[in-house]
Amino acid sequence: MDFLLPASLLVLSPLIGGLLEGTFRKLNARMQNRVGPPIVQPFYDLFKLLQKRPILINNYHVIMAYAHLVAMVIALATFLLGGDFLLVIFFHGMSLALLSMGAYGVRSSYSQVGATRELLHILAVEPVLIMIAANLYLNTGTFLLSEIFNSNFLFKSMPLAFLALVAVLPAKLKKSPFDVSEAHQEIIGGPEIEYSGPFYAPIYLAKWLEEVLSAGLIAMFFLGNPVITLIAISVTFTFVLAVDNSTARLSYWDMVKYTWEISIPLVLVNLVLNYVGVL
Amino acid sequence: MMNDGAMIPISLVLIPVLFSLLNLAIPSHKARKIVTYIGGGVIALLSFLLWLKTPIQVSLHPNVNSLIILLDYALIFYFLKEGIVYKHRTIVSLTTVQLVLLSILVAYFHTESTYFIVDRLSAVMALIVGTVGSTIAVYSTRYMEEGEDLNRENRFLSVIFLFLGAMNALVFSDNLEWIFFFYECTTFTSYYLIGYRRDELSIRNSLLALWMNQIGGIAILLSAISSAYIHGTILVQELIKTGALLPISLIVIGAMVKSAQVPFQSWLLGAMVAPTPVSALLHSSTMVKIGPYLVFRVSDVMDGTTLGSVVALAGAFTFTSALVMALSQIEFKRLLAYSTIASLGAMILCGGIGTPLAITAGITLLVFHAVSKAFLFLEAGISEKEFHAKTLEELFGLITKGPITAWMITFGAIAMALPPFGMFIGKWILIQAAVISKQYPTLFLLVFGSAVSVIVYMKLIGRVLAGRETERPRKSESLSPTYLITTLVCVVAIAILTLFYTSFANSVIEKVTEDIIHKSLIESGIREKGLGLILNAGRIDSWQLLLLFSLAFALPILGYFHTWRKADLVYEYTCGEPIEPNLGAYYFLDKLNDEHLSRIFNPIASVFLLLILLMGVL
Repeated sequence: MDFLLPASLLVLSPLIGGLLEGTFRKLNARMQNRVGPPIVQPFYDLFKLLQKRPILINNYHVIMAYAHLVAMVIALATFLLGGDFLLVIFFHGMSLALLSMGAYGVRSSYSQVGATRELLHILAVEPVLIMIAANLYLNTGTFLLSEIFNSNFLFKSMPLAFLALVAVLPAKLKKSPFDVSEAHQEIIGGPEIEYSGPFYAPIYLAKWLEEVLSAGLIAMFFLGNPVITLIAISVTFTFVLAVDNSTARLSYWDMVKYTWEISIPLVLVNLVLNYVGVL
Repeated sequence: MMNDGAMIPISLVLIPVLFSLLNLAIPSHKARKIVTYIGGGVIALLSFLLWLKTPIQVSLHPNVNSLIILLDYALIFYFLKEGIVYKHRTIVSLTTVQLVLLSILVAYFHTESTYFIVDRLSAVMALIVGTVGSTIAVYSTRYMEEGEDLNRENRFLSVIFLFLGAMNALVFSDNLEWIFFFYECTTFTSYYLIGYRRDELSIRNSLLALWMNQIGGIAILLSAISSAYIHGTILVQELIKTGALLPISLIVIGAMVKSAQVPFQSWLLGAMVAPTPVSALLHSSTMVKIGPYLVFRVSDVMDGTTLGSVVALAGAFTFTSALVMALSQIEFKRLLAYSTIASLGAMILCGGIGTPLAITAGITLLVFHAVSKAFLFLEAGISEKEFHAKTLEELFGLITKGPITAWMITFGAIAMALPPFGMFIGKWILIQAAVISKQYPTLFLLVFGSAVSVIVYMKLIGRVLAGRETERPRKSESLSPTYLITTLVCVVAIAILTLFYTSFANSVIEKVTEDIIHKSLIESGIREKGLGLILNAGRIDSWQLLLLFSLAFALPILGYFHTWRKADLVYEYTCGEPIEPNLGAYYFLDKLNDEHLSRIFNPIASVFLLLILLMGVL
């Protein structure tokens, strides 16, 4: 049982991720007073991508897309199977780094600009997540998720750390105001622009897994009662989408600045409060 | 107390000196090449033997002491002469101070201790010097053939071998008077090799390196004098037992100078004008490691003290600030220099924390950094000589000219920054150690720096990889066997040490750590399971290591060999813009120019230095 649930979640993660993505699009449409696509639309998209004519600019550009997906799977597997939380953060960062390596591998101005911005996403997100990990250690005495998952309702002792996580989610999920690496109106998808057809599919799939991983990070704070967990995930994601729809994109520098100015102090205050025993 | 391995440390000092003299005397380049191959092989072999025979204590002839004092004066007078010849006031005055301090030390606090003590920390340093050092020496015989004056090459190789001997002697010495002498010897080799090309810039930078390192020498001398005056000993092992903080804080400052920690970073950046093997050997993999080495020597005393925390914070500050400054570097070697300074900062940070976990992380970083950074410098040398590319702009699209070199650089950068390679494992253990010992400011600087290091190295990869399938060269560049073998040795070493990290940790790293903390590692909770590692608060599993390892190797191998037969080749879409874009890298020059930044970072780092001294006095 201990192994069955995480393993099945891992196997089903593309399915869950696809549905999550579909729900996002539906919700997004509703917020903009549109009907929106059906919830299973992402799956249609994926299959269509796979059937397209394969075209490529150079071979390692494509290899990096697959590597990006593989690293994301390893990060997600480490998370779900209860591995070390620090490793989840680093593997996730590695996955982004591989995407940007691929994007640097073609001589396209949009792709190259996007690659640099992708790296700044790492800079914005990774330190905050590691500080959250440090805070988790203070509360649970371990980095092992298998033990952290046994804790009940971590939100109670780490509310500010959770808010810090919410503050970096837009940068992590590439939602406005921090969708700087994709920035469709500006650099037309950034690192993704030069991928097409079946070679774009791994990146598309990795995006779903990224959403599952983010859901998992939110869930980590609200374990114990499955209903509360689900409510917390939906509320948080709805909030992120609402922000996505109501804000304009900031510059990449502002992304690093704001995520830091908001998140780092939040985690630090939480750390201090835990340290002195208030929370 | 002679034991059976007694001859090995002595020969590890004398054989390099012998080969140094040989190289100086031989007039033919080809003959020197053969001599260097033999010398490198012998030294590497001896360093392995040394590891097997550790611990060793050798009692040397009593006259060695007088000889060292004699040579010490000779060296200081040589520096004085150089200072006068180049009309460099700072060097003259610093040398005078050294002269006075050394005379005080010799006159009042002389100790007749003529021992070489080899514990596992010394042995692992000698192992790095012996293996990485001789690989680079072999590489340099080919490097010097291209565009350098072969008539002066004998001096070059001679000083390189002299350095290997001096470095070994330094790590075997326990006596601060000797440590000072060998420290100055490495300063001399560094000074000579930076100025080797004899142009104006080289000479200016060599003088800069000389006077900065002399500050370190003065710190070591002051440490010896204060230790002798207050505690009656100049032997490091006894000093550690007294737990005296003042001499230790002075040793740490000497260490920070040698490791070019901020605010002393400028000498190492200047040192990049030297031929690339020099940068690989002295200024990344071995000589600058004297810093972490000295800090590890005394870290047992610092564990849990405020001094330790300040040293850790200073190391973390250098780690982060050097990486931030690396972002704006256009020259390949300067980028590597900044990242070297940063890694040395991380190792000093480990020594400052001083817990078994932190020391384990520190030794891991020490070993892997030596191999990976030497490897990247060797590649920098190849791209400089074969492709005339010294800057990141010139490296753009290297893959269409030299795919082997481009993938080698890519591999080196991955090995420095990404999982699952040793540098990453070291950083991972270090973050755990910092969290567990609740050093939050240090931790914060550390995580920020480690994210920046990913940017630095991915940017480098991005430059070399930018290419097109249609421009894929039919034939790879032809590299000389010397280049290929020396770089492949590094790749294989990184691969094997990473894949079998647990056995390596078990048989080497943990043994070294035990010698540093003077107790058994059992309670630190580091355990091996398969290829993975279990710590008290975290774990890395075999499957994670294996998968990431295959992924990291699949990239260059598939990238080099694989083609998609069924896919059609196209040009970039770039929104249909028909012009070939002129793509430069982004150097953050508007915000993170290193000249401006150093004006902010240097005063902050100087405050840390003062704090370290203050903690020693209190």
